[in-house]
Amino acid sequence: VNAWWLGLSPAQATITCGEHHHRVRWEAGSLRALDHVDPEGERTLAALGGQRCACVDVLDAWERHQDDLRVLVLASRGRRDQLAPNEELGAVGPQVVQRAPAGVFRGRQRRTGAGFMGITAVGSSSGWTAYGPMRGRPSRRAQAENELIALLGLGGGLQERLVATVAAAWRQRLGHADRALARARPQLRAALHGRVFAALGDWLGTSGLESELRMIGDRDEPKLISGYGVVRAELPFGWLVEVWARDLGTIWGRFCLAATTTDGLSWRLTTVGPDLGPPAVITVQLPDL
Amino acid sequence: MWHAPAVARFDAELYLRLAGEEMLLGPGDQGRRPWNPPLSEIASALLAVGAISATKAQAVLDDYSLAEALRSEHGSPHHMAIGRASRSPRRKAKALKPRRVVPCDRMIENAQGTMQIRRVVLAEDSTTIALTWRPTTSPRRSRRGRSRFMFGSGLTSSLSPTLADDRGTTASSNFEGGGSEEEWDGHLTAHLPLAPGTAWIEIDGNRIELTGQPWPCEISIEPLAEAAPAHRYLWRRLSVPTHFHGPPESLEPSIDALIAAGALPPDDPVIDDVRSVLEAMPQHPGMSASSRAVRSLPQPWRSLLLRQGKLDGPEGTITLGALTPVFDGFSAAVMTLESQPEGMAMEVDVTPGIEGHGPFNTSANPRQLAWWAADDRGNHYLGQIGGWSGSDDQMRGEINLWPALHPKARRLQIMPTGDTARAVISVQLPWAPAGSVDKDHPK
Repeated sequence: VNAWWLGLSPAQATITCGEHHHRVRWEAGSLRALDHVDPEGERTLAALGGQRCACVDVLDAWERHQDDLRVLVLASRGRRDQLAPNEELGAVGPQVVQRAPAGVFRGRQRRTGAGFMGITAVGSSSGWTAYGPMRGRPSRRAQAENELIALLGLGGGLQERLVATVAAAWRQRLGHADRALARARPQLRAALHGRVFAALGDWLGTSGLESELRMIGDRDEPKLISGYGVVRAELPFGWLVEVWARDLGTIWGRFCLAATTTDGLSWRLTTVGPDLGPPAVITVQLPDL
Repeated sequence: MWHAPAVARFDAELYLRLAGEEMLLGPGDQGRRPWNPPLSEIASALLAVGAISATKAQAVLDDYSLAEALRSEHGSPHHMAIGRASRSPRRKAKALKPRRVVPCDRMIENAQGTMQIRRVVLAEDSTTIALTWRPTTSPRRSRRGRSRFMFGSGLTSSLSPTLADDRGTTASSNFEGGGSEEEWDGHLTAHLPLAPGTAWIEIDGNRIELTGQPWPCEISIEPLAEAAPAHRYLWRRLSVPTHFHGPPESLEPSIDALIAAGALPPDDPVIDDVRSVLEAMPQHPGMSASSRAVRSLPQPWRSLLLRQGKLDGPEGTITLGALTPVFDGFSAAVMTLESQPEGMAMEVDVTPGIEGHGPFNTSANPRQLAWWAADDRGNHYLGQIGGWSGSDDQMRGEINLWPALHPKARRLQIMPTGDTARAVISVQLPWAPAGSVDKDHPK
């Protein structure tokens, strides 16, 4: 079985960590703090009362949300569904993380009351909550939500990598039926619907488009067919990981049903044209850098 | 438009989530309202027929409300958070405290202006005084046509007189209300309750004898007639007032959801009735009904809409002090009823606080009362919330009833209505013209 991240290029954002600008980089399925030699040691020191480090807080938040289904609800569905370039993005809650331009994650080292990533807004003491009806400390749920919104605002392609990470985690769980999976199924199906719909909308245009999606198993044959004025898609949840996460929803004017590889360099893309005729295979060879 | 393939068992959560996806990806800005999104209509409909639990419906609404807020240039995540923070767990209903309501008509002048005292309400835990405040620099104006653009304090920041009773209690007070530069309507609330049985009160030393009596009324509680949950939901949705949005723009998403859930047959004649009423409903109480087919509508909607736009209501105000026991989780007090040519208004207290009227509300299951009224001539009236204040526990507000009271009506039944029961406050109207017949209470 190939690693799910094969063929996904690295993504990187710069954040303010203490007095410095530091880089956090996603590569090969993991997020790393490039400018910290020993994040685990710093984590231990912080736990003992030492100064917290924004980079390590981001790593910890990423870890906590790597199977969080709300990522699939909140994050972008594609090019035409972007989160607003709002100064308040990531600014929910009393510990504010401002979205910074050009992927810069502004923050300063400080342990916050809510324990939220140790990052608070530069020049902001209380954020919007000074005007809101919230009382007391934010709930654990609100803290988790703040943290997630901040992660989605990291920039540099990390939002898309977080979606891929969550989708890959749940794709793996789909093979093992349990109660948690049963509860999550509506969310998984909706996550697939939204992203397939967005890709189809970009490809075919949304005017008058009637579409229907059936979520199939990984081993079933994916299809995109038309009948009675309705476009019917039959795709596995894994389409999110194999196709959508690699930005392969459409290629050369064709909709991509599946993308497979054996080595991460040579890719076989099963595609259909706008006439929704028989599938055709496109082979893509990536350079071995 | 996305469709979930036909399945043997309806999955309400999936249906709701797919509607959320469609809302996010829908064309233009139409779906990009970070407050009260259309998704809540669908959630409420599915919840009303038991297709989804309140917890699950709320979780989906919270998810997509936040997702929408994150995409909105007009809103922001904090709208969503305010809506969530303003929701509180359901509380067991508590009856409003018994109160002594004393109508007044007393003017008190000082250097700053004139207070017209209209009513004193004394309970064991609170004392409020309803008044109209006119600053000295402002000419007196009629109540009708006044501009209202201020709330809270502002010009009235100095309006905090000391109150006293005949038992020696003295208390400071503060004013809350709304108005313009010329005139403010509102309430003084004592920081310490005065004695409910006091014979008089003083406002900054100006004594007011409390000799008036509230207008008599009869109060009863009635269960609502049995109805299919889907029918009850749709009719109720038309009658529950929404302060910011008027009648719902469309009930089609709710109807589609109810049909998909198997709670409403696609050929149910109620669907057309509901559509006809919604089409005929004015977007604002002052507008005339828009449909020519009003006469074919079912009651009470037919009588409601037939008189819409009339300006022949009698003029008068009565102080009621009507207090209901707990019904359907609510307790309500109607303090005054005012009739004007264009409609009626009531000042009410309700416990618990009523959800669903805030600008950021995203509750799947808001606590709401419909405010109906009916006269002895078979005419019906519907209330909209004009303004309110309060907390999770209690709300005080103004209910504007439309259309205008029939000029020959002699009796009015005011009916705050919950999901399964209603209170009926029956009042003989003092301004009814001589000779008109009270069908239910002949002399």
